[in-house]
Amino acid sequence: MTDRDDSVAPRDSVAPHDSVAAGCPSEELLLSYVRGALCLQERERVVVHTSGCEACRRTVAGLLHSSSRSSSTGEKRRPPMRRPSVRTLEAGERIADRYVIVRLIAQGGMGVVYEADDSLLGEPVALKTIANLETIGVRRFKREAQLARQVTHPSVCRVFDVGQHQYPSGDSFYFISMELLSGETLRHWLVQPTRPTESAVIGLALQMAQGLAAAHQAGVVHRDFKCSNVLLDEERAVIADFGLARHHAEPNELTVSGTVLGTPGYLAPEQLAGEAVTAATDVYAFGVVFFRMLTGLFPSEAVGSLLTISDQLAKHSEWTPLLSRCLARAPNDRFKDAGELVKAMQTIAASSGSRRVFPRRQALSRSMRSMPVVLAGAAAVALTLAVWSHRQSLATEITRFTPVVAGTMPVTPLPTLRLLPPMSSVKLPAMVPMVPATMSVAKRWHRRENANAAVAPQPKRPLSLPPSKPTLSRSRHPSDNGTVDPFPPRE
Amino acid sequence: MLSAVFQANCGLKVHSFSIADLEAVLTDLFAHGSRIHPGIRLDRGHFMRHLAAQLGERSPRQLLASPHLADLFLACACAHHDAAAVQLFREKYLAHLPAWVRRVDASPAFADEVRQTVMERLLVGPPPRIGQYTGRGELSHWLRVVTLRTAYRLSQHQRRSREAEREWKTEMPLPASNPEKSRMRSDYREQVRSAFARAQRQLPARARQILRLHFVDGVNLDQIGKVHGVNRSTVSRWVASARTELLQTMQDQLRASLNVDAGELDSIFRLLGSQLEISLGTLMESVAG
Repeated sequence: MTDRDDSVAPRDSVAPHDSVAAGCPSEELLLSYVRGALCLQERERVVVHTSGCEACRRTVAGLLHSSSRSSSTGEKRRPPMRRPSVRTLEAGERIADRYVIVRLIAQGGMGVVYEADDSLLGEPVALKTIANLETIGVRRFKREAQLARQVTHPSVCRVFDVGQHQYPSGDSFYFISMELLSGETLRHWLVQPTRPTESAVIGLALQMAQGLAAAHQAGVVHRDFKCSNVLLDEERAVIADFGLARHHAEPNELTVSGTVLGTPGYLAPEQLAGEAVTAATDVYAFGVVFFRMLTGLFPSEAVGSLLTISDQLAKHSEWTPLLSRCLARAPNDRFKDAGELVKAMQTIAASSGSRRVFPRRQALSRSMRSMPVVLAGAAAVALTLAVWSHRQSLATEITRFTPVVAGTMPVTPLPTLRLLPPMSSVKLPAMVPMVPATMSVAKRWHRRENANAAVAPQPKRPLSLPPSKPTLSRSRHPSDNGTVDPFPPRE
Repeated sequence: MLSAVFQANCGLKVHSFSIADLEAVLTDLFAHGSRIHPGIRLDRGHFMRHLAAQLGERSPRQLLASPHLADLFLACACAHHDAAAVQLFREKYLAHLPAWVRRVDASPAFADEVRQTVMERLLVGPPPRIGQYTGRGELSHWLRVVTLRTAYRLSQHQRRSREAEREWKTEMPLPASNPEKSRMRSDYREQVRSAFARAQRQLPARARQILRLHFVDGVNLDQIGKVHGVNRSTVSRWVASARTELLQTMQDQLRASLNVDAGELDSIFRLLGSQLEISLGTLMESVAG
């Protein structure tokens, strides 16, 4: 539709609800347009049409309005975000007579993080101010700092101090000083063009599990463990932002009951249901992160699409029982806490002997370094023998769908679906699928399609291995990354 | 044989499967659908034909890996008039309809009318339009677009019939706080109106769409930017230049159509410039483009 005649046509000559006869774009086209997921040509088509057709344009506007709200299903609206009560701090500003702001690092829903110099100790630190303290509460903020201070582990971001800065005007704000980390988040690392090797993924995952284990041992539940809360400093994975952490022995008095804290996609079923959050909730979130690291997908993206799940996990069959246990729907079916999880991971890592699963020496956590790895592996085997027998029943179920290569399709999708609750029972805020994340999903789709097409004639290779990617055996070769591997694969 | 039905309906695209595999996958898909919607009775052949029809430009592998196959199953059952499916659709999906259309018209009567129209259109046919849902996104999102569009069409239709009844009486939405303005209103109203309409039509499609989205529908610049994959400031520039262009074209139109001297024209333009800021939204809404 280009001009006057066309733009008038749908209004006068067409029945009020007949969108197809009016040449209006399909529902799916409009949805993709609103999500910003259309190619240029299709987008032009929609733009030209909506510049004339009022009903379609208003529909687009309606969808846009709702996508900026919490829910498109018309359920209770989230109260509007409060304006940050703390103005952005300028470089050079002196905070609490001790910290000098260097630069702003990141700004998120929970607060603003700055790089600052601790003038007392002459060391760089990270300062986190809380944007909307009224909603979180001073008490909770202080408790967060208190709890996080109890955890000292190389894979957990260290918290030094909590302070209050007072302006001459009388206004004040609270902040936490933390260990300053360089490097990118795991989320960014995962979307890099080349897929990380399995050994790198498992090395990092193990560190994260150990970090969580240390927190759980101190009685701290993270509650919002996710890819963007993990920072990769050199080859060390550091869990940051215990922003929603809560001491799990305490009654849940500071969070309004029924409100869900956390990030959609990582939320365990009990979190969605507003039930008690335990260490097993973090285990679930870890499962989501680990699944993403291995496959590039959220488990929720893969559920229902049996080809995807079996495709993706075929390469990592030794981790499938562990993942399915992490992602179990009932908290009791998961590992009790991250400590148990670490043991199980180490067992699997040790038993899949041909692969190098431990990170490089300098990236190992302190506790790991102090102990010969072989001994650790042996001890872990002994410790988890009991766990193993318990898991046997689970494992036999899983094996039914694990040996998936092109040519053999799973006979029944039952075990795959057991990983997660059925989608129909999970009520995510409807805004979630509306965000442009669909674009990246589409890109991945494209990639996977190509991979499948390229691999299909050779039935014995895993379905989703793109021909250009280095295989595991190649990437383990020292000459590949140009550095000599100080930790050769254990055969 | 499910695979035979499926293959017969989607041509030669399935060469990447062996027959035995395809059979197993399709059987699983059907079982998956029936498990998620236990009460629904759907003929396997119907579902296979439906699946094959939804291929579009996708490969069978893409389609079969879609995470919305359970929604597709439900839609297919609705298209085949399964009572349980229709009931589920009404109870679970159409329940949100009043909230969706509240923005268009908050009255319960309107919501009822929209519901009636949507149901008629989607479930009755022939053929029932719910069959056009291809499973590329969630069924609820798809339904929301159908609902919104229907609602806007209905409200447009109602407004138009009301307007037709009582002639065109609305004033040009230019406020008249001083004699000069009121004179301009009365003297040149029709000319300004038609000049504005023509100027709007001459705008490039994107400029026109963005101006309306922004000024009439109140969509903010961030959201428009997101849709077009550009920054807010870029959208802001687009809006500014579109507005300038609109005003410029309008002036050219008026210069050609009004038979007045240069001084008078200037004063009209000055007024237009200042008024346009205030009333662009109202103008765009009331003047057909």
